Amino acid sequence: MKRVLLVEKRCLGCEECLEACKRENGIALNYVVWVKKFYPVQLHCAHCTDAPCQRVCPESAIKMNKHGAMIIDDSLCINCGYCVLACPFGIPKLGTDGKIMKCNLCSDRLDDGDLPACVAACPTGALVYQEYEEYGEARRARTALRVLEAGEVI
Amino acid sequence: MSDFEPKIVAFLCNWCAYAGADLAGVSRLKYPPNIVPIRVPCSGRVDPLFVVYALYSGADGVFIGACHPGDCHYVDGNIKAERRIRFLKSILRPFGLDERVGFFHISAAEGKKFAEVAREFTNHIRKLGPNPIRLSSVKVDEKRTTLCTLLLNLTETIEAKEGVYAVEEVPEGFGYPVMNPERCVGCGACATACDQDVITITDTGDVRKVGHYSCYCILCRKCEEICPRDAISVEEGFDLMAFIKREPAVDVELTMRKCTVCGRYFAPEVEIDLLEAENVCPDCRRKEIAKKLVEVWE
Repeated sequence: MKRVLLVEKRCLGCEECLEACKRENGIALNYVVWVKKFYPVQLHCAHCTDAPCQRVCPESAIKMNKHGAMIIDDSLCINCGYCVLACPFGIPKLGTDGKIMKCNLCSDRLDDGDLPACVAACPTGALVYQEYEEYGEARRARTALRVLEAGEVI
Repeated sequence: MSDFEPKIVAFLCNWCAYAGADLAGVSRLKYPPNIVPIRVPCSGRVDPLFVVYALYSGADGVFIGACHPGDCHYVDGNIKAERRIRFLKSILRPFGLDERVGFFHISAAEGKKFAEVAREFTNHIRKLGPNPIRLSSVKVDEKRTTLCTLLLNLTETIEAKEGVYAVEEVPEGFGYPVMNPERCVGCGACATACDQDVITITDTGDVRKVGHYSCYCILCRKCEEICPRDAISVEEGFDLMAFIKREPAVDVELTMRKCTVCGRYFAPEVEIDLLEAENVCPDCRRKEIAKKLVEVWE
């Protein structure tokens, strides 16, 4: 199942992904958190399997769709905010019209064969839409490169 | 008081009672000059507050002239008005003012009846004496607040009863949500579900208060359906004190839990315990996870 994943040390904190999300969903459902005022970290829903939000939802409104995204069914959601408290990453939030909202992996765009809005908007390629295996492989390659480069400097 | 002349405000329906009064005048029938008529398009236009305000502003009696049942120009305005006035009278009874409000059916052809009713009502008010709450120095813009204080003061003098007031005839369409403090976790689903903003949730420091304005409830029972903890039941009834005060009655008070990172009160203790969630607010959870990621990268 493909996911939106963050490539380490590539995020510039430009918040283009927030703007893209706002255009797509009316409100930014992802976050950019600055660590030590130096490292920007983009955070978004991880679409966990056996998700804590899904477990606590009293109306079973959170379901996984065919793209592997955990989406809130608006017709069932009662805005109790249990998912907001249960999420270990603090991702779901109160939308503009008083509805609880969370990332839906841009399922409409995926249906049309597009990338999720935040991934399409990211200017540095810090956000990728990949399988875990693919991402892990690329990451291992990057780490290997870093080790090599470090060796050259010495 | 032998020289007491009552002042009576008459709300007369344009289509019948006003025409009746006109006929009485044209027919040269004598009726007391104490009556001050106010023409209204329909007796249904008479808000009970008009009556209370008339009494409050110094009228000794209020007289409402409506069409006979079935004759209303607007189908059922007179029937609704009668129901409203009946309810108003039951509210005014404890204050001793219900006798000063009269509701009469007078048709446009009944000039004679109008004169009779006016005479009888004036005599009736004359016997009752001057209005005990007559206050002359009142500014109109303070209407709402002063009216409420006045009613409240009166309630205190006649053995104030807090909470639900026993109105003899419980009017239809009034109700209020009853919350079970043992079940409620203060999630706020009911407050978002309520279209009338009956249920209020206020956070003051370490306490979350869940309350309701009973006077706005329209008995849609959405809150009852939606509550994930089945803590709400909607009951029919009328809470007079809440209606007068326009302040929410507090049903549930929940202690809030502090975020262990930033020290902000962010959610009720019972809700966090129920969900077995961390004692960290969502904002801090994001910061923590970002911090861990950066540690891994470095």
